[in-house]
Parts: sequence; C-alpha cells; structure tokens
Amino acid sequence: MTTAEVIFDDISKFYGEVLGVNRVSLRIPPGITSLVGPNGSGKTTLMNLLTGLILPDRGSISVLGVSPRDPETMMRFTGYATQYDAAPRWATGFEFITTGLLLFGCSRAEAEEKAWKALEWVSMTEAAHRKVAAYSKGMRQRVRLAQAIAHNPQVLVLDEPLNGLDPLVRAETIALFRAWAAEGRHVILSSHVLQEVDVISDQVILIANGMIVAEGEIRGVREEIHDHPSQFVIRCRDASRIAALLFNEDHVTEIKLNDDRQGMLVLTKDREQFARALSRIALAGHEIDGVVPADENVDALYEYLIGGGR
Amino acid sequence: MAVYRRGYQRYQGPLTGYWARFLVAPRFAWERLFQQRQVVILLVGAMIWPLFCAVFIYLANHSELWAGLGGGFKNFLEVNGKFFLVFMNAQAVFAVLLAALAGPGLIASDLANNALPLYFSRPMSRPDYVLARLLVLIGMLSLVTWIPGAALFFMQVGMAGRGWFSENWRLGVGVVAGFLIWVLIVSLVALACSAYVRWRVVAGGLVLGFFFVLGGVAKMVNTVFRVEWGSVLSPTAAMYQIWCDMLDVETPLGLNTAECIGTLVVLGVLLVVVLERKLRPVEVIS
Amino acid sequence: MTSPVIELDGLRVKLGRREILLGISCRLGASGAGKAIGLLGPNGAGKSTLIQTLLGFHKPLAGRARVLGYDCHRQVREVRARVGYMPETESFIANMTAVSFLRLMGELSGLPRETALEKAHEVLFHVGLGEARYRPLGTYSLGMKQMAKLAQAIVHGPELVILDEPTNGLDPAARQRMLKLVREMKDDHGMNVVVCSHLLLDVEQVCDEVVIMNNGLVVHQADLEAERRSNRCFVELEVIGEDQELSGALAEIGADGVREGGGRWRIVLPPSIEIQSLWALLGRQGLHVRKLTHRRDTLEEIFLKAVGHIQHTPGEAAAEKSLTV
Repeated sequence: MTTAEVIFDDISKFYGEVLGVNRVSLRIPPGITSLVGPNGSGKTTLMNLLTGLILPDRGSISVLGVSPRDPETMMRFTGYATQYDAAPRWATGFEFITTGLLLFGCSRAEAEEKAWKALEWVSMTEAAHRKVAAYSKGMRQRVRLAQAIAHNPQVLVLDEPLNGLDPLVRAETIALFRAWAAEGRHVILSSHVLQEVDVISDQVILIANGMIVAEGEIRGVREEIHDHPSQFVIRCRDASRIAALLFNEDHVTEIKLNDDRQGMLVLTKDREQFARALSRIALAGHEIDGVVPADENVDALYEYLIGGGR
Repeated sequence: MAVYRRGYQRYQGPLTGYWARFLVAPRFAWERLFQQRQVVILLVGAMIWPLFCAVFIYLANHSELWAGLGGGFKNFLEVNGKFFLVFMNAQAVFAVLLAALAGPGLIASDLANNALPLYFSRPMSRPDYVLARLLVLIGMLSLVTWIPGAALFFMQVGMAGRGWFSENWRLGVGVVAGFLIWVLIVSLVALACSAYVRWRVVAGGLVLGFFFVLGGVAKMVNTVFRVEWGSVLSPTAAMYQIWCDMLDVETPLGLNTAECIGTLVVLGVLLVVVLERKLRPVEVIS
Repeated sequence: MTSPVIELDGLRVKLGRREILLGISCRLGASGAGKAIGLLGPNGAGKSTLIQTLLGFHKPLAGRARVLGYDCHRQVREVRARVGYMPETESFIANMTAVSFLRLMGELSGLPRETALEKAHEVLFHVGLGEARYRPLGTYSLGMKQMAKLAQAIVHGPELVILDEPTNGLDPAARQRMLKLVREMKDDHGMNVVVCSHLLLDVEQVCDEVVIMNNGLVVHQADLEAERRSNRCFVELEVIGEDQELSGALAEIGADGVREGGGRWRIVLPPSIEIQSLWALLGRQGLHVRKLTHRRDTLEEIFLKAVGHIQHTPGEAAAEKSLTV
C-alpha cells in the first residue's frame, strides 16, 4: 500500500545511554515541513533514521510506502543534505556530484548533465570546477544541497540548509523549496531561524528532549494551546481610552500600555470576540491604526512549548 | 537596608604597559607547564646526572679519599674538557626529551582550535607571540643545561682554586655558550614542529625524530658515499663538533667547525621561516 | 560634531593575487554614542577582509583605515587595545577553564592581574556561563563556546566590539540571549558594536545603522530608523469573513486592493483616505479584522534593492502607486 506520507511509528533510538529520540510517531504530508527544536533534541537523529543511515531500536519507518531498511529502493527517491561537511577536499564540486550520480547507475553523459543542472539550480556554475577545499562555507552548503537534489528526488531531507548563506542566496533557495513543494514533493528541513520557518513552512514539528512537542500547521498548533491567551499588539492614538473600553469585555484578561501611550498589548481568551469588539470600537470613532497578532508564529510556539532562558 | 545593582561593569581604568603584557603569556605557559606531571618527573630525572657529576668533582678534588686506589684512577678522575663534554652530551639528550614533551603543548593547543585570531586581536604582534613561547621553553631547558653546568663549573673552581680557573676558564664559557646555542636550536625545532602538526603527541614524536632521524640520515650518507661530511646534516653532530672545539677536545668526526656553524645558522633561519608562515591570524588562500 | 568610530578613506586591500576591497570611503558610528552598526553583504563582498584590515591583520594596498582615531596599520597596538573581536570560526583553547582563558585574554589586553581575575568572573556570569566557568572549554557545547567567545571580546571593556556572525548555529533561545546581550552592550555599557551577519532579522532587531557591501565596495549606508519610515498608504490586511466583494468595495473609495488568499489583502490607499474609512468599509462588508498594519520596508527589502536584486522596495513602489491612484 503506497501512501504519499512519511510515517514514523513509535520510533525510539538510543546511542548506548545517550538519548536520540524517545517514542516518536509522526505523519508528514507533502509540502515544506520544518523541524524545530534546541540543539541535541533529536532533529538530526530523526533525519538519519529517515534516510536509513541508522536503524531504530524499536518501531518502524515508512517513506512513501518504502522502508529505509531497503535503501536500494528508498534512496533513489530520497535526497539528504547533512549539517556537516562531507565532501572530499580534493574533488571539485562538479566531480563530487557527478560521482554520486554515477553510483545511481547513470551513464557518464547523463550524470554530467544532471550534475550541471543541479549546480545551476543553486547558482554554483562559476565555481563548479574549483576544488572543494577552496570553497567558502556558503559555497560548500550549496554544493551539499546540489548533490541532494541532483537525482530529482521525491523526498528531500535537509539539515539546516540555510546555515551560512547570504540573504540573496537564502531568498533564491527558499524559492527553490517552494517550487519543489508546489510539485507535491516532501521537503523536510530543520532550522533555528524561526521567523523564516514561519514564512516558508506548510507545517511545523517542534521537538525537544527527544520527544515531539507539537506538530501540524502553525496556526492550528497555536489554537490548540489553551494555557496561553492570544496576544495582539494595537497601535492607536488614545490608548488609555481604548484600553478602558476593552477592559469591559470579559474575554480580555490583560492589557499592557506602551510607554508612549500610542499602543498596547492585549491578551484575550477569544479571538473572534476580540475582533468584533475592535470593530465596534473603531466604528464608534476611535482611531485604531494597526492590529497585529503577536503570538501566532513559531517564535511564540517555541517559547510557550519549549521555552528555555529568555 | 540597601539594594545593590552590581553586575558586569565595563572596565575603564588604566592598562598595563608593554613589558607587563609581554610577560603575561610566558607566565601563564610556565604555570601550566609545571602542572603536567610528566614534565616535573622528567625535570627531576634530568638532575640525576648533574648530581653524579657533582660527586665526581668532589672526589676529583679530594684525592685523599681514594689515595690508596692507585694511579689509573687519577687519570680517570680529572675535571677537564672531556668531563664537561660527557656532561653536556647527557644533558643535551634530556633537553631534547623535555622539549618533545613540553614544547608541543605550548603552541598546539592554540592552533588546534584556532585561537590565534583571539591573540592577534590584542596588542600583540607575531614576533611577540613567538618570543613569549620561546622564552618559556628556553627557560625550562636552561634549568637542565647551562645552569647546572655553570653550577658544576663554579663548584670546581671553588674546590680547585684560582690556578685551575685561570687555565680552564674557557671551559666555563664553552659550557654556557655551547648550551645556549643548543637550547635555542632545540626550542626552535620544538616550536616549529608543534606549529606544523596539530596533535601534541605527534608533534613530540616529530621533535624526537628530527634529531635522531637526521642523525641516522647523516650516518647513512657517510656510509653510502664513503665520506665524512655527511655528519654536517645532523644537527647533533654539528653541535658536538662545535662543543669539542670550544672545550679543546679531540674529535673523531673530522668536520670543519665553520661548516657546522653554518649548518646551524641555516637551520635556525629555516625554522624561523616555518614559524612565520604557520603562525598567521588569518590563512590567505590565493 | 563627534568623531566617527570607523573612518575609511579610499581603502584598497589585496589578498594574494586578488584585490578584494576596491576603494572604500565612509564614516561609521559616533564615538561615545553606544550604537550598533550592521555590516551586511553577499558572500565574497569583502566584509571579513574589511574586519581583518581594521584589526591590522592585512596591510592596505592604498588608502587609510582609522578606528577611534588611530590608523589601523601604523598604530595597530592602540587600535587593538580598544577593540574586542569575536571571530566567526570556532576559537578557543580546549584545555583551559573558562576563568583561566578569560584571565589570560584580559591580561593580554592590558588589564592588571587582580582586575583580570575579577572581570573574568564578572563577565562569565554576565553571559550566562556562571555555573560552568570552572570547566575546561573543550567540554562546552556550541552555544556555550559562542558565549565564551563573546565574553573574551568584552572582558577588557573595549570601546568598539566587532562581532562576526554572533548567532551562528545557536538555537532560538540562545539566539535571543545573544541579541539581548548585544543590546545591553550598547545601551547599558556604551560600547559601539559592529555586527556582521547574514541574518537580517537579527540585524534589524539590534542595529541602528547599516552598511551594505557588494563586490568590494560600499553600496548603501543608512540610518535604519529613517529608512524604515512606515508608508501610511501601504496597508496589509487580514480579515475574517466572506471577502469576495472587498475588491469592488475598495475601488469605490479609490483604493487599490490585491487579494493574496486566506483572507489576506495588500492595499494601496490614496492620500486622501484615512484608516477610519477602511474600518467603516469593512464594517459595512461584515468583515472582522484579524490583522491591520502599515507596511514598512524590511531590512531584507532594503538589502535586495541595495545589491541590485530588485528595482524598488515595496514601500517605494506603493508610494509611487498611491500618487497615481
């Protein structure tokens, strides 16, 4: 039975006594999925398990219906870009990718063509014939990405792919991910830059201490957290007056006024009612310049669910 | 009641002068050196031979103690150039061993994790850095070479009197100067090896190999080409020749002292060049 | 007029066979003001080379570089005594404890012996390494090593601190801590900070001025507050409710609205229309507001325009558009 999902079923992995992941179950649909969590939480372990580089101590994994214990089949449609540098220093970027493709059984001509195309995708055609040892950090990152996508995989697993890239290349790479996700592929990446994760991901997986803390679409996840009231930042002319009106609403739990009295932070238990209250206040003649939800992003999710030392 | 706000405060006071700052690195390195147990043990072990030599000197000057043992002994127990040469040879070996043990720790730990930019973003130039390290090594090696040597010499002078001194003062100069040259060369080799190779153990092995292997190479050259000048390639042999010359002792090596001095100078220059190239805050790849 | 912190005058630097900096002239910062300057640019623009030249690691081919009034090549020691540097690459001495390491670095920078010990402890607590300060640096995690690198950069109380990719590899909590420390450095302790980073979001949070480099030249230099003037005519809107008719309704009051899907809209208002009218319109349509904000140019957009990737920032485009609507 083939599915279009990547499935982890009750997976555990320990390295001797050291914890990798502890009873993880996930179903990852196509699109861009971001893995977010502190260092050492198990992100790289999950990726290594997914690509079959390590075997789980218990449970089973299924990548589009194929198990990683069958790498001959699975690695044909899976590409992996690791966090650490593994390209041999004596090879050129072009040779590195071509050799990898030859292992897939492509002919020399086919391998060179695909390698060149992959290098075009990551804008590395200029430096392709220089040795990897002379590459800067960003260039090595791009070559790793190129080797992961060269064989046109259906599932892309990328460990911190934007690390060390300058803003231009970041934007281009993100566009590349979006294009691939739009074609129905799986793009699974991990990142520490939460604002970017916010913008590009279709779904997010938060992991800490080897266990999954939350998964799903960002807004959906936020709506499920009931411990914390929603936060909105309001910009307006007469904050005190508007705050007084808002306090009359029983869904508002807390209001913090800005020092300059030109805005406030409102905590409310019910978003819908809040939106209605705001409309009423605005139509009654009070000038409201701006309304911004303050905690419907991955940053807030991270702080609520994982926390740690702000 | 009083509540104090005391956290990190930015230092805005006076800064120390050039020499105080220059001595900081040697001070730290010196402390860490003596925290290593093997170094301390080797240092103590290196004092055993000088102790024997001191006993020897004592016996040589108090002939009444062994008067009954016959004439052959008298020739043996004489404090002359040969005696000091034997002393120097033994201590030279200890010097190499100590440098191999302690030297790499000085630079290798800085290079292993790229700490050089942190040093050079402070008011410190590259010669300062090398000199500071060199000072430490030279200081430690001096403890086992010319300092005991000078002590023995003065002990002898004290016991043998003015007359002996006016005849043999060149021996004293030879011991001290000869050792100083040796200590300088060994220190440079140790620093260059540990700048070249990151792992302490391998750098230590490299230092040992430098001296002993080159000695073997020199012998090989001699045997294969049936010449005598091969020994010039070995710094140990070159040094030995120079010492013999200074101490007025016959040498079986048949080398020209000037050539030996030349080799050592060339060696020194090469080592300094290696250090200059390896100890950069930033690597430039063209 | 206060003197600038960094002053470059036709600076050209050559490394190996390639000329990296092609003649830069600019004045950055103000001495004693406690400001943060962002140094941005694509890879290969010459940012690292510039920093290394300021620290005296490279000799300029032509031109001059001055830091706090001292020449970077001829008065290297004076410059280095007043500067703290946090390199991008890993830099530490594995077998020293954090306290010894900072003591060494402090004394090398010129702190007297007792002061160096005091400051070592103070700064380690300040950066959050208090509990681990007697452990060797080799046992530290990546985040802790970054903090130790920051600590050695500020232990001697420099006037200028140069941070090269300070949040590299840090997880979100550690990144926030690092940025908070940088803000404290400039606000509370009056240090000038140069932050060199690819993460424009971090730079936006912390810096007052930015300098953007490309291909060895400075292509843009700006005061961030002035640049990010919010454009009152360019509005981002997100509504709850049925919004099919909104486009037509907007056209009626003379505004131009683009639908982005999911209830999100981008609207350009004509100069005559106030926000109140928008609220009234939405009320009439039976829509509730989830998000309403005047769009400001992000640093990323300013950056992309400066390096020539886009013609106009969205703010500029909207400003032009509103004049024609």
